[in-house]
Amino acid sequence: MKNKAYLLALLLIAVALSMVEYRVVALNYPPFPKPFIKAWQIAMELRIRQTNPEAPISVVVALPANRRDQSVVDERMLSGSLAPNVVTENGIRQGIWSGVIDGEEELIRYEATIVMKQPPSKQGTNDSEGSIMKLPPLNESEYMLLQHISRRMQSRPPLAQIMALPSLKKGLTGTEPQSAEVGQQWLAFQAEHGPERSLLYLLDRLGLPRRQAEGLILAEGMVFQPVRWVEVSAGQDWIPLDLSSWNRHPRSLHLLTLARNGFPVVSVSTGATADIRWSIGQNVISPWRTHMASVMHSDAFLNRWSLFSLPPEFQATVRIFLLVPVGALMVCILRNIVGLPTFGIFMPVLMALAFRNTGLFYGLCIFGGVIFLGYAVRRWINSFRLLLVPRLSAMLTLVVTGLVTLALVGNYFGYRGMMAIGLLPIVILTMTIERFYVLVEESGARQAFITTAGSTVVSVLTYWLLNSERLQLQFFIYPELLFAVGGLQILIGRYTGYRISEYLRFRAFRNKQS
Amino acid sequence: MMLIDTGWLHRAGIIGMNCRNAEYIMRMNPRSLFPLVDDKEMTKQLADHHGIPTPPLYHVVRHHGDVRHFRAAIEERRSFAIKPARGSGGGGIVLVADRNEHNYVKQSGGSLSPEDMLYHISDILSGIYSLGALEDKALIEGLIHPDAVFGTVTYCGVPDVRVIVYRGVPAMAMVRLPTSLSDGKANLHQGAIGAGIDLGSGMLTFAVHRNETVARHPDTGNPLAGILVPHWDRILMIAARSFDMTGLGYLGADVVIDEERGPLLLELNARPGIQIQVANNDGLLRRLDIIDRAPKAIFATPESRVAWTRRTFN
Repeated sequence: MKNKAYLLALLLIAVALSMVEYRVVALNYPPFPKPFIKAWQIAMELRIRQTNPEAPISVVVALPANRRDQSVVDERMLSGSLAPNVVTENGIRQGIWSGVIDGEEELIRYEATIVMKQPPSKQGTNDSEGSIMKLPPLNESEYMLLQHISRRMQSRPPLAQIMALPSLKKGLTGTEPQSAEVGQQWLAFQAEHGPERSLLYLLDRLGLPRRQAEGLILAEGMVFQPVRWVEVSAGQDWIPLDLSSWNRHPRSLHLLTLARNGFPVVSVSTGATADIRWSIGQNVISPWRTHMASVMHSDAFLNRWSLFSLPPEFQATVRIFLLVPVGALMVCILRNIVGLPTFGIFMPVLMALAFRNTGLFYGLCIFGGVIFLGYAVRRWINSFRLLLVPRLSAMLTLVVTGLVTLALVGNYFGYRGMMAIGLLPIVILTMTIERFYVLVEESGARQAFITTAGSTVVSVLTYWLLNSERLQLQFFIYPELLFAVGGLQILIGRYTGYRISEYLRFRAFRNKQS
Repeated sequence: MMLIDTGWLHRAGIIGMNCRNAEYIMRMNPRSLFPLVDDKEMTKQLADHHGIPTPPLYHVVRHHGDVRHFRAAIEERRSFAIKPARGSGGGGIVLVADRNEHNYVKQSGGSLSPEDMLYHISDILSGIYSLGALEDKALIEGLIHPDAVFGTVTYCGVPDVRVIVYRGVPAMAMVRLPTSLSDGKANLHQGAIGAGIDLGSGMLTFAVHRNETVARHPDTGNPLAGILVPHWDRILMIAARSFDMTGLGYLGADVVIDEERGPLLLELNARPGIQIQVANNDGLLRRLDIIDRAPKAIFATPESRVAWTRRTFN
């Protein structure tokens, strides 16, 4: 029997772990999902004015796309009378609105929630996103100039070349006799081609992979003009370079790429003009939505049967009750291995659930106060010799009266926690009062207080457990962990060793060897 | 290398709660037999059938409608005890020592009006004193007049002898002596004294009060050690035969000693506590292992089991 129980427990744990492993390895789940995610809220407003009323128009706007370093969690479009369409071409995600405008003006809104990710390094640079932007050929003297500059740098490793770019931007320094003249030519070159093209010509000359990008700097505020930058690679990640200094872009982790390689962020067909603006805000989004987005777009069996497919209003409940068995496991450990006495078996778990409404501090105060009051009344009405069921009903009425009074008092003093009691704890409180009374009568006040302390410890620990967003997410994404919880419960069920409290109870045998 | 020595409980042969529940109660006591001991009326009928003496049963009140018959039923009794059939821990027991013109006189001194008495019986029927059961019966039994042997070390109440019986073999025994702290109840958790008994001789060996070793009764001041439990062989026989009577392989038999009738089986317990080890200053697990290794022949009759245990554990 013992071996069968162990076998079942180990089997359950093995099933749970292999399902988790399958999700992590094959379905790319995060093994330890992050409980909080900072996200950016982007709202684009595009105001289109028609100059030629007859002709149909079309507007193309570069939209944020899912990339290695950014993911679009949520998108909404408000298009008015124009038909929206999203296509991805040359690695650029384009929103195309086309049709005829009803009046003179049309407002298009686009909203997205974007999560920036640290791109995993060591993945190489060849996430080919469209063609390299072609530059017009240089004339011979310009070519010679770049040849001259690049000759001085080519002996250095790529990263050092990139590091030298900012000083190169300021001008040429050197000891060679013709340096002053070449320096003049280089500044003139920059002035003629502008900082972006000059940089691209130079990087091409040096043979470093580069690309041009345009997008938004993620910072709270309003943006009317996207920024441009150039990205260069020294073999691993793309390094965004600021065009004014050729330094690594100071906001390199907050650049949201919209368009690349010279593709315009907004283009409007003839016969219309457009004003565009973006408002950018930051917020902490619940991690549930981001994980849901990644899970829902998959055909794998475990994805389709994910808890994320439940309607959101049920998800909130499932989150909590997935953790109730974990709370029960906690009770198992604290009762059978530690040896803490508690009122009832799962009463501490129910108390912890009630604390979720009130918060821990008010919850403990309310429980303590109501049990104390209840005990006093219970002692007093004992002399009435009421029959069991009517007596418990009377105590229930007392508990409800007490809680309602507390809510009114809480409202008066403005403490929300005292009002948010919920329905759950009423019966628990009533039964706890009765058990407390019986325990005081049968085993003495000391035992009753030890049991109360034990119940409090268990319920506080269980409360922390149930309220852990990290743990909720872990079980919601990997509900098969319940198998492992069951396995552990069976293992504890076969634990026949001593409880920690028994070392205290039988301390008289400490120094006795038999 | 273990920095803290955790092996001493095991070396002392102590049985823990987990071990008792899983290895003894669940293994030795089929759930179907529990009603035999959870209902004291049933235990009593069973004992009568097996010729084991119990306190006399005067009357049983089973329904609220029967409460009015109570007075007629006890018409000629001056003293009696009322207890819930499924009570635990001594709750709900009222001992009536005598009657005066109108009221019942309790053994503890106070008096109880007939109305109060009927209320109390109603309470018992409603299951107030029986945890886990909504309905109960009230048993009216003959009052026990405890043997004088423990008179010097008892404060009020009735002392009782608890014997742990494993596979029909008495394995460990103690006497529970009420104190003022325990309010006259023979319940260790409430502050009664537990005194270990040498199985061979029936002599008190060791005593604890509130988990501390004591040599004298805290209320009477009289020494505990050296008291010889009377009718020791009959007590062990009652305990040993309770196994044949119920089939429970691990049980606690509670025996009281009446000054006229001698040892009487008070009740049986399918989940006896493990505090008895402290009262005996000895581990129960050690003794249970010895019983498991005993020759098969000794399990044949209650007599052979008692004889073996008196030889082995002394």
